[in-house]
Amino acid sequence: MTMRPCPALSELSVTEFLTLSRAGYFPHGLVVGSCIFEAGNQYDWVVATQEVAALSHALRSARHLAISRMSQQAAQLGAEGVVEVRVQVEHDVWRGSRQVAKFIAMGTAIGFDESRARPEHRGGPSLHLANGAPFTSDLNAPDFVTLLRAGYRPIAVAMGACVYGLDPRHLRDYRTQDAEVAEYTQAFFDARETAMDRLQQDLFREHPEHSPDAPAGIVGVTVSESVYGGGQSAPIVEFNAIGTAVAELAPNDPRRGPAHARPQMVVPLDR
Amino acid sequence: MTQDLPQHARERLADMRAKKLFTSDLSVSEFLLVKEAGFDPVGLVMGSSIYQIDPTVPNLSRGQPGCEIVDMTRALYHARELAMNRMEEEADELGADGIVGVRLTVKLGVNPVKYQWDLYREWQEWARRTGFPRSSTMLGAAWQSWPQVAGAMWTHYCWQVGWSPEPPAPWARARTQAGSAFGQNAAEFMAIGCAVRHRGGESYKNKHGKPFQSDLSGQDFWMLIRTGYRPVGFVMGNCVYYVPPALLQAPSAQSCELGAYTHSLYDARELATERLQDEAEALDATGIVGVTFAEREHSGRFAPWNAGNGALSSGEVIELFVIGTAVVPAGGKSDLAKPLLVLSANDLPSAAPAEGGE
Repeated sequence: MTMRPCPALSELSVTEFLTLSRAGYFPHGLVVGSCIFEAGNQYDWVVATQEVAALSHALRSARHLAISRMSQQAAQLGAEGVVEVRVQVEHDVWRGSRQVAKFIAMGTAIGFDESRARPEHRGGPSLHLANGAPFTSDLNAPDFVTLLRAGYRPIAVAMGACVYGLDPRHLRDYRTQDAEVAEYTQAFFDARETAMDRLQQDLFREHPEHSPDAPAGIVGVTVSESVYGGGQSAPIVEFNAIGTAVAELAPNDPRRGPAHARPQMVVPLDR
Repeated sequence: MTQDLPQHARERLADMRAKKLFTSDLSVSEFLLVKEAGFDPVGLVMGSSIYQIDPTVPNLSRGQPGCEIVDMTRALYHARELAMNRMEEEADELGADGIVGVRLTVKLGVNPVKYQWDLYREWQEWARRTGFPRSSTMLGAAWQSWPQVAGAMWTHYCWQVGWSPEPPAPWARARTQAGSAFGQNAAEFMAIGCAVRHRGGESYKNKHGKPFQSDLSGQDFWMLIRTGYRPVGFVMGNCVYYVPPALLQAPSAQSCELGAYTHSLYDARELATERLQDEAEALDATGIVGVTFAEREHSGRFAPWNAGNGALSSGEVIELFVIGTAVVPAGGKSDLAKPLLVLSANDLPSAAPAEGGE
């Protein structure tokens, strides 16, 4: 039962739309999930070089709620998955020093129409996850099609966050010398690794090993950061790791391209 | 080498090994090309180091030309080396043969006064756009007291448009660069890349038994392997040079070359390149590809009221930084197909803004 609102909204460019439709996928609409999560009082944490657990936790819960709302919306549209997921994460201090974590996820829901697909794309099993939910991915449409041909399917947007507080007093010990600021290095390094570690842990909690959707890898991982405060006040740094978890298609899946397709060298003639 | 990876890094790497999970920061096409070249991505690896740099400049007598600041050169090199060694250690832990797509970034610390100045300008911009009278945003010499004025203005504005509770002001939002988190003279050096392992089990480690590193993208890496070369290491050279203020000004009002200034920069660039070559020679490389130069001003003497002219009174501290990938011929023959001319129907790629990279 494919219910497509007509015309379906999408953010795809013409090339992206054509690439998708050649593979038999059509946009079902723009889907959005959002969550604003209360994260306690700003003064609950002390100035120290350590993780701000309340904020990390809030970002994680907010993400979970926002992504699941987005995929629910996609499921209602009868979509097989969501591509080009973009997320917007931030936390703010509102008046009264209440902290909130905001999380907005947005993407294009796509569905498969076998009758309009090219012959080589027909007959494959659906890309739904084992529990019937649509897949999510932050890949763009051409990358999604390339990935399918290479024998992988996207499962979910994997994310991890870590919020770290810094104590500016550490820097005083390093005045007038050329040296590594060990406390800060440790903090930044640890925070990035924690974000990546949580990305993996959360992913495997939802899709455990040996389950039908067990991920084989995560592509396009990026770790971004934002800083709050700074200047005169004690800064806190937020790290977000995001990527798309992928699993391998069955060996006899028709969507796989020829095994030894060689890339071709091309020289584009426009600019 | 010291074992100084954080606890979570070890956990993450052990977890990846146990579950045979790979992570990569490669795009889909890079991922497939690296696989086509005979390598499997095994994991995203990174290392970082936050380094405090003492900004003392040499006290030169009048008329002397510029000179290299050896301590600072060494410090900036050491900072990057620490970050790269940690990345290498992570790759070693994963049993990788090499690291591709290495990116070395530096996030300079921001002078707190400059930081406040930027926020002040941002508020001014907002206030003028919103329609507050210009005069109410001109604080002149008392600009440091801007947060009080701006706070009152924002409260008033929120009350007028009926926003309750009051959201954070546009200038109070997050910064996307970590520079404001550490002080003026500290900077974060970070190395990030994707560790790969050869599928055939062939060892691609360099002569020190360490995974090779290369700053080539997945596409360039594929092409290099196909043409019968292999990368042996990521090489770099740097040089911090001090140019005294007298050399920054022309001797007369006519158009003329600033000879001594030119010479200083020339000298600095040659020194950096020479160090790059020495590193490549130490790896027995036959060539260096993808060499890029970066210049960075490290004087850190910024005053809002003389922005851009600060160097004229204090002299300029400039760093020349060169990186590249050292390669050796692998003996194989080039089997690259003849290029095919195509007329692409894609939109022209918009020029990506260079961010913090070196």
